[in-house]
Amino acid sequence: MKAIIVAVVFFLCSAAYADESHVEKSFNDFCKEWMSILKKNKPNSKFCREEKGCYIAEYSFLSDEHMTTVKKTANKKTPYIGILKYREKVFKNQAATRERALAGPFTAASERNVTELFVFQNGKWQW
Amino acid sequence: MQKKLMFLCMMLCLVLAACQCKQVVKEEPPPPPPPAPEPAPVEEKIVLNGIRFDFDKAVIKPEFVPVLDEAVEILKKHADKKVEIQGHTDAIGTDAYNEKLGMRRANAVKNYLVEKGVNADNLTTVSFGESNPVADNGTKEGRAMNRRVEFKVME
Repeated sequence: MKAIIVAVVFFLCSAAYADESHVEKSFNDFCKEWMSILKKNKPNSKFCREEKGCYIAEYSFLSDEHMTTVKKTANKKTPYIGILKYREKVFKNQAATRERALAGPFTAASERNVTELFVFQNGKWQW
Repeated sequence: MQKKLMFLCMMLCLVLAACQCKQVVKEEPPPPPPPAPEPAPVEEKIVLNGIRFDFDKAVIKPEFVPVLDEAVEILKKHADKKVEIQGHTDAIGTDAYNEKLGMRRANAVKNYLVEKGVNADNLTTVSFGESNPVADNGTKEGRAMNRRVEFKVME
């Protein structure tokens, strides 16, 4: 009887471990795809906002390195959350009009630590 | 006469010797090195992805609580800093509609953070509607990437 209980517990534990490592691997794959889409789009998507009467346009370049972490939660619909961390370099240009701000020239203004949070639902990482 | 000539010669020699003395040149101190360029400021940004709101609603659903709680933990580490909560939408709908929707969603997230103990005085909300996409609005995945809430931690 004892042997059966031990076997069942062992089976359940190894199934949970396999599930978790599968989720971690799937998050790594998901993040690689996510980063490649961002890298493709970011330099082309200049963004402009008005601040104190002038316009500041900016775009950013992503670093090649990134870090991923998966955390288990107690929520049934969202059993895991994923954390993606990377750095981006921000280039800015300031001008009196939106058009001139977007036209450049842009200079390196700052670096940014980015943390992106994702949810794992219905067996996959959600976009 | 000879004595005078010798005396003159000696004086001439002394004058020449004095002229040959090495001039002491004061070396000027090297110019100070140029100041090191100031390091670029480091900003912090936190992005919440995959948070779905019901159509035309801005109510936080229970399944998104874990990801919001993680955001609360991160923001509590920056308790002394101002945080701008930015609402972003995809390009479905008019500009005006999306701007309002982005603001309602940013406010819904702000209310949740305040309930969880983040200082309301440090939080501001802004909506960028559909104006700052990170991906192509022509695809389903791209639109999903564009629907997001960002926290910009201000210095």
